[in-house]
Amino acid sequence: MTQNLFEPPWSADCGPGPWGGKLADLGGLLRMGDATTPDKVAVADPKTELTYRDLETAALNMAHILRDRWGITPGDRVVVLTKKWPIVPAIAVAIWKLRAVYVPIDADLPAERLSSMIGRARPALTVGFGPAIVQGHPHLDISDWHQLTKDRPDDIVRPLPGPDDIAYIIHTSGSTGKPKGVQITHQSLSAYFHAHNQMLQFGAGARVLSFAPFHFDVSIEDTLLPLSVGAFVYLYNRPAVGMIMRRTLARQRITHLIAVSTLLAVLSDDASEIHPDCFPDLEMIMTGAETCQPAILNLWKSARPDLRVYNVYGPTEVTIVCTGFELKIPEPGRTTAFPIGRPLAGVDIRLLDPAGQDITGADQPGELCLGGVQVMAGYLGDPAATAEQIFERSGVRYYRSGDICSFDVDGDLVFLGRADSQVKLNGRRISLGEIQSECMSLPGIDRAVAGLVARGKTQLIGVVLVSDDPDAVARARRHLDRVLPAYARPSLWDSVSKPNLSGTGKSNDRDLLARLSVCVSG
Amino acid sequence: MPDTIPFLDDVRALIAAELSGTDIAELAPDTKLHTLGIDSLTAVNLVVALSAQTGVDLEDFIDDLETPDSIAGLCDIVARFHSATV
Repeated sequence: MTQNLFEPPWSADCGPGPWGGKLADLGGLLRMGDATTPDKVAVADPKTELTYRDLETAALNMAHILRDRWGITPGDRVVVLTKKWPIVPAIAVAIWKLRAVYVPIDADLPAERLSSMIGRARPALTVGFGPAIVQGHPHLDISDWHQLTKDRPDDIVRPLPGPDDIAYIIHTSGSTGKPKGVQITHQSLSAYFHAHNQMLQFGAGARVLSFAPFHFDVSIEDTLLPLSVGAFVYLYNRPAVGMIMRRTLARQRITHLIAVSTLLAVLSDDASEIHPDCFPDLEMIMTGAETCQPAILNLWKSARPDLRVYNVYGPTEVTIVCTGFELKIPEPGRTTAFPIGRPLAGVDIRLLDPAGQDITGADQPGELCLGGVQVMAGYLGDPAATAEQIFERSGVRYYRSGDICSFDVDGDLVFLGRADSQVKLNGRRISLGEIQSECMSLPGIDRAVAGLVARGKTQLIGVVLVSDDPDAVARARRHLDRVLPAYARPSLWDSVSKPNLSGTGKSNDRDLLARLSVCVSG
Repeated sequence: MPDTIPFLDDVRALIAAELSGTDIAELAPDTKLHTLGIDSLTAVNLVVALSAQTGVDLEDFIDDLETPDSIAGLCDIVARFHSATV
């Protein structure tokens, strides 16, 4: 059947093909849709609809521009200052057609952070929807991206990627200090596509709701993977209002929903709308990236027993998702989070105790280490940080996640917490250590303690400064506005002139943060 | 930015109700919401509350709404809700 000529082997429609080290042709990611259903809408948002033909035409035009006008060659890094707009997948594919490296970065970061991130990425070109925000690099403004979808140029004779070529770099914050560029190879991404689509089951008929911003690796899962099998993706780029999200789900006849736990909670905020007859097209719900309240997953599975409901886990460093748990039977009385399950095909896991010994028994905590083909090549330009996180055992490369987990009696992994001071809020990794060290980099601030403080149903980042300067909070705030993205900035502040010098540093920290909790509730 | 803008008092009152103990006189138009402990999801909830107060259907506006990040941004949204009801 000619129809399946371009169908990638991980498509649900052709069954889970064997991985066998077969590389995905990322430059040809849109070819199946373009060849078999050119007039089908591939990706849409409330304002724009782009067909597969539009997207592939734009990718080809863009690849010509990148190669012929900007001299992009294999291995070059191309930074894309993203917005959640339907044209972005075409830009990624254009970069891949040249075997260059796709580096999506959030255009809305504070200029100083953006500047240091881009500086360290040393891109051959930055591409954005507007003039350059950061000077000093060649910049291509694609505000008039509509032009790219017109008139198809000649095909690009594509150099085939090697397994170890870098496909993309996505930034994540380390436990202390600056964001790090995680380099993922073609081989890792190919293996991920094969392994994860056995669970997701995206086929050409899938209609996927995408929440993830393009600088987040989940966008590769919820947008690029479905596009590779000829599916439809609807980009949700409106404010997160439960009622509007549910209407979108119904109107767009969404079949597959992937939402970080915070967004799934918003989407589920009216339990009366989640009932046996709701969203008849919906087949699958997947959440992850942070701990999800068990009541939310129970709600969906109880109302719609036919839904496939998953809780998944994966650090950016191990290609998006590495383990998953399917909730098959609701557990209404459950108060603890559902497990994060078992590794995807091709992912090796080890749970190590502090001495580095394997833990195999149930209910013993250890650090989760993830090994195999999905493990990153390394952090860009930071071999020391890479060496800290990566180790080899029995010939397999493992990533030390810093996440403390245990096995439950069924052999499923259970997430218990972080080994360091990282926290997750709204699905984003936030380093409390970075907040503290940035505050303490200012003169006259002796100590800073950052932590999560509960307010009502939400959690906020709070900081207490130890300083004699009455202006300390204002100064620290101004500083963090410049160096941290908005989601990582503390919203609760307090300062004390002398710390209550009692007990260990830890309990002292707790006393300081308790001050903030009192302020909030009082 | 001017000291006062349309609907500032409405927005101040709403925020005072949301954050008990906040001194609303301090809330200048250019105050960033995150400095008040209002994250983006809470900001969206404020927009939902304002739409209910004004009696508009939020969905008529949602395509053009950005999540507000300042007091002035919230005031601007209230102004748009009001202009639709007259």
